[in-house]
Amino acid sequence: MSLVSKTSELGLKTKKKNKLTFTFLMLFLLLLSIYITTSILAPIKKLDSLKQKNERLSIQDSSAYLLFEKVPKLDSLAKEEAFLKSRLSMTESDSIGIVLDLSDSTIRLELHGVTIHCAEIQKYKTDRFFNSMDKQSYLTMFSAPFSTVMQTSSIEKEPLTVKRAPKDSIEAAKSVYMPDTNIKPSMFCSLDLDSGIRIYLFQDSLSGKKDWFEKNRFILRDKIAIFFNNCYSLLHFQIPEYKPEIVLYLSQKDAVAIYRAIPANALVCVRL
Amino acid sequence: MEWKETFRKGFDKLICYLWQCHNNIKRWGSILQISPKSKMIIRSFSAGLLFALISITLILYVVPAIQQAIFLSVNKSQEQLSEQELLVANKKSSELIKSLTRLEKKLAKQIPQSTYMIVNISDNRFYVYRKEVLLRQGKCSTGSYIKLEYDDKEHWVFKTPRGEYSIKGKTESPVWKKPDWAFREEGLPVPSANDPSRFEYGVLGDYALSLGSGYLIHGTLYQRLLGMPVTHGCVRLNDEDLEYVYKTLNVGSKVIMY
Repeated sequence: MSLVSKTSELGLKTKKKNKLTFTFLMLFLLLLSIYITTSILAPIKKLDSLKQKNERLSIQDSSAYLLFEKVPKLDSLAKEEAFLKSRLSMTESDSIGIVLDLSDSTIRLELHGVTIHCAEIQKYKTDRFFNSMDKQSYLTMFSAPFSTVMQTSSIEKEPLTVKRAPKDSIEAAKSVYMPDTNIKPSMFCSLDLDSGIRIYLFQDSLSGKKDWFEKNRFILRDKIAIFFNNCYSLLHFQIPEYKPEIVLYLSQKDAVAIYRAIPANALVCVRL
Repeated sequence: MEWKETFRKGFDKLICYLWQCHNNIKRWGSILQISPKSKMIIRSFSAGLLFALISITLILYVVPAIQQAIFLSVNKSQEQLSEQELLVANKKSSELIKSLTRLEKKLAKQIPQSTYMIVNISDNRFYVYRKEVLLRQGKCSTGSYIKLEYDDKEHWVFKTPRGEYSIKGKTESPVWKKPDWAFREEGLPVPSANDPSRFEYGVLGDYALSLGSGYLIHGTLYQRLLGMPVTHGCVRLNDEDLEYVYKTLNVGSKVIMY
């Protein structure tokens, strides 16, 4: 009798356990599908909100934009005009700004309209989002410089070395500082702009395992941050914000010089 | 249909491999005498791990790919222009060209007409320009980014400031008045403000150009260190470059350091 009751108890326990696992699995799948659906809706929402916002800010009548859609030459002239307007308004700033010109694959640092550094972009990748933008949104958005709201990097902005002052001249003679010029830090950084665009500056060549590891660590960390941001939005019953990306590959030297030269809220002009 | 054959062969191989793995695990299970309960735990753990891995890959890599794929469906049709539209397009085009010329002129006006100097702090190089013409370039030395601490009360950061500066003054045969940090760095006691030991002759080279706040462009005795970040914030040049810069830049000339 006791053996029968024990067996039935064990069966009940297993059933309960299976039910719990099944419920957990279903809940997880439900959350996952909500996450995927909202993530897919995010870029569409971004396109729509941009369109609505820029319709209000628009500088020309909508028929002109329709014409830009139809005539590629007009479109490129309008893009050039937007780029120059944006650069001109950046000259009013007293800080160093970035001029990103993907049409001639260059990234420049400018201060009051003076080009102080020009680097060649070896390779770049732009989000398909930009191709899907309507002309009105594009021209309104890119005719003013963007402001950087956050910078993340694999190197320090200011590579400070702390040194204690020597007690006497004998100790001072022993601790003569000589910088190691052979050390080339792995350079991967991202700039978040106020418009929601994210620009990545990556060194073009990976010299060893350390660089490869650092690059993937940076990308993974970034992806995890995006995931948590999306989860945060979902918890607040909002569609997560989509951040279109521009990935630039340039030489390590140039990437370091650009990253260290720009201030925290640097202005950025972009021509795609 | 060659690919179908290759695919079939590959699939067969994969099934064989998985079957072998299954048998090996079974064999190891019997060798190690794993209890059914432990087997259950291992199975659940493996399934959980696999599930977690698939979910992470899906969230971190597949979702962004799907987001990109959405934009592929947005098609833009190229329509033919009507005659009236063509007229408007031509008018608009000439308007845009005029606007571009005006904007380019405005931008060109921003470039200094006199000689100016640019210092790349990250690379320890300098460039002298007139308008957009590069006149001279070479190695220099800039701040070492050392933070010198003394007694937890005093500290100095040896860095070259970034931004736009101008030449405030020019001196021939400059004399260096050693600041407090120079004594602390050498482990010596700090003398009074105008003590003779503060004045050093010939260490700054033949010329010095002041940028304000104590920062100078000057020469150096340590020419082999040019191209390295070793200074206390000043910009060091070699003798020839220093002479050129001294003779080319005037008081008020721009110096941009980045």
